[in-house]
Amino acid sequence: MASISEFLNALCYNPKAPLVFTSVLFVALFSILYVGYIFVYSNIKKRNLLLLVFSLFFYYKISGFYVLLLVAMATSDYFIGKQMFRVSTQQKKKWLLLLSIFINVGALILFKYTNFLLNTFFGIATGEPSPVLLNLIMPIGISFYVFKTLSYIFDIYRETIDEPETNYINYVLYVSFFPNILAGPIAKARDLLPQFAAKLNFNRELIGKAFVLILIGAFKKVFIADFLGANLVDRVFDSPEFFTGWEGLMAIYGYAMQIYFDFSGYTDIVIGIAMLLGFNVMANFNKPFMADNVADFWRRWHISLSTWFNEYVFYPLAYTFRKFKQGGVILAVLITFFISGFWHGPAWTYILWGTSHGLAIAFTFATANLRSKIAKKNTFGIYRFLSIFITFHFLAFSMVLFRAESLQAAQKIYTLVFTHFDISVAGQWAKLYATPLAVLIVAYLLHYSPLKWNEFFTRQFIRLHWTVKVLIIVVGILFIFQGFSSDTQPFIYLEF
Amino acid sequence: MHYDEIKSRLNRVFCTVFKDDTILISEETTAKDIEKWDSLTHLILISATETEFAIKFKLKELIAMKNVGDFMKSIETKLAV
Repeated sequence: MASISEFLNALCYNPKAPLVFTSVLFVALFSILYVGYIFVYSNIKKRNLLLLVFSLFFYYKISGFYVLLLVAMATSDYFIGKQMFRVSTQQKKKWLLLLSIFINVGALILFKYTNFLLNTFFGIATGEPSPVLLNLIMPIGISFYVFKTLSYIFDIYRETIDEPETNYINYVLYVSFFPNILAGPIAKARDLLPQFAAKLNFNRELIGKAFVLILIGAFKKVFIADFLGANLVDRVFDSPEFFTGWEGLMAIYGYAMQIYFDFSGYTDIVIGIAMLLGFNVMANFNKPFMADNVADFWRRWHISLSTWFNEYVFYPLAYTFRKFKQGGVILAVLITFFISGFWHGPAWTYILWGTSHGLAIAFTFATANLRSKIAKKNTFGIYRFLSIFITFHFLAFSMVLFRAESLQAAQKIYTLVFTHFDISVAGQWAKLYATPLAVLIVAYLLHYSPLKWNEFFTRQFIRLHWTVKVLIIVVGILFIFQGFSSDTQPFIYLEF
Repeated sequence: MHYDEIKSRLNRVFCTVFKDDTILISEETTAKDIEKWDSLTHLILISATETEFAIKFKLKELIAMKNVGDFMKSIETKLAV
């Protein structure tokens, strides 16, 4: 009896025990869901209802009764979307658009930014922090599901969606779909909603690919991201005063790989889980540190977010400012990246990070012709190598702002690297940190390895006999769970 | 204005904006076919086209365009009004 009550307790909301994809509880619950899913997947109504119930439970387990806020916001946009097709004038359509923005962005500001704005306002006015702060916990994933539901309303307004969603269950499922609700990829309504109305196309290849993605994602998270975090990055970032500039530099290189493998591992798991259920969620990464400029980086990193900002923020702004030609584009880039930085979190570190990327893209844009001339004269690929090298270092150093808890903490890391740099400690460091160094090298090799290799291994796995596949999956799961330790950290992007 | 003249003048706009005299546009041309045509340069192209033909595009019209053919049809429609 005790074990049943423990199990039921484990199903209740507990902020100290979130339901993460790599937890035993999730694996158990997903397995139960999947058994039921096999019986109903060919019936669209039953399939979607089962997915909705599981999605809402999943969100409840993570955010408690904020699940009601999620449903309320999805419901409001469902009806606003329908109404937008009914109204006769463009002006009325615009009012409905503004109402949706008010509700969605209003909720985001209320839960995520109120205290930051209060402190900033009082700080400017009195030099002191705000005497009143709201005691609100941010609903996990709100930054992501607000963008999902807004994409539906924006696309209706821009007439890229031809008809409103008339199935309430399908719309709430689109917003709350458990694989991508917490940290993306931000699937647009026009991509994901039609899939909920269609029959699923399962095949051996997709299921095999899904398992490969999930295993690779968990491996990236546990063996690379968490290991580098606990054994290299956190030590330096938490106590920079005990380290030299060389160790600071290695921590910066380590963090670039930690965040990439953490977030891309998470995304692999999300895409894999959605694929197991028969749905296609867009890819979010494409060798981001192969970028030869920062604009290129944003076509390779967190692609679903950058395309969202590109379509719904940058493009309308650049359109508005187009008469200012280059200056207008640069202004649109700077505003977009300022907002993007702020979207990541209510802190000056994120704002500065976003702005620095905006400035780098403005530089890329302003010097495009000059760089193109230089590139044409270069025949040995040195220019491209240097471009990738410099871009990578800009990105890695800007990510310090992402990792540091404050501007002062970031400044300590920069000071460490630029004023206490002593390469003579490198040999001794390599001996002391032999394992983290080896993992770091493997991480870089994996990142810079050709995409064809991934595809080759996936194809080989799919071709295996099912018994061998099951054996590999079981051994893989056991191997990954062996890697769990007290150092296992939550996925970095769940904070946003 | 005749369709061929629109195409010829639009081709000149492309060559000027992307600083490449070798560009030859067709109805099927998309951003993928021209190296420097990305989201940053797109609005420069739109602005230069608006100036060349003394027309104004709406945001929705721009979003609906899938290739240079759509672009030219939109210019033709605006010039005919």
